[in-house]
Amino acid sequence: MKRKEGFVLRTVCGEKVIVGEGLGAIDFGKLISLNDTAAWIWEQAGEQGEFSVDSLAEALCENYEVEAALAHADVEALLKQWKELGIVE
Amino acid sequence: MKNTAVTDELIIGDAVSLVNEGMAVTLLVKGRSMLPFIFGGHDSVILTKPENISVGDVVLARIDGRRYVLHRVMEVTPERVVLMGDGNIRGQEVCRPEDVLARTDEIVGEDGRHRRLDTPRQRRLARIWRTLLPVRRWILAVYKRTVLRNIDIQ
Repeated sequence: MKRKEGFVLRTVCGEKVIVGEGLGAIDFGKLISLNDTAAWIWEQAGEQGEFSVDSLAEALCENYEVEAALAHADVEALLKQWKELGIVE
Repeated sequence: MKNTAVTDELIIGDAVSLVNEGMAVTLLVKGRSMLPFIFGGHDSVILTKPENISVGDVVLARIDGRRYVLHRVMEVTPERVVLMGDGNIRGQEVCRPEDVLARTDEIVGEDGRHRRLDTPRQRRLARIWRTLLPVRRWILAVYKRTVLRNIDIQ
């Protein structure tokens, strides 16, 4: 899996959000807001380029105090959501 | 109340920064001061850079360095811009041209449908609406009790 081109993380109204900058448009009513961990995973996904649930869960465990099984489940749920939103492919 | 004001300030401030970067920012608007052209609480406006502002344009401006308004341009000179809400029966705002922070030529309704404000037809309607200023009070009163009531119920 990889991040779709043109979507970047930025802070809008004090919230970390993903916006499609390539479109040159941003809808404040449809912002995809992320908590700190999700934002970290988004950046990590960008660094990895080609990533998977396993590679991101592994990175998460190396950087945060979190159980492997929980990390895997959280990353899996997050990627499922991002896929539905069309920001990863 | 205080929190709401701070949040609005932050949201509009961030929207303006993005507009300055060249983005088109879609933002839900509040209030009824632009009736019958924009329905606050239901319509979103698409904000873009305020280039070539002229009479009849709808703009976002900062008044007296504090409050923001999204109103129609009534008069433009190199020194000042005069604004008035379509849904207002009196009261105009005056600001400097640099206080005009964005313009809006397009509205997005709740149903996702886009409506342009800058078509010849819309411009003509806005001009007619302007000439109706002396009787706006009564038209708006009837309008709020009929059309708007139905929209709010939906």
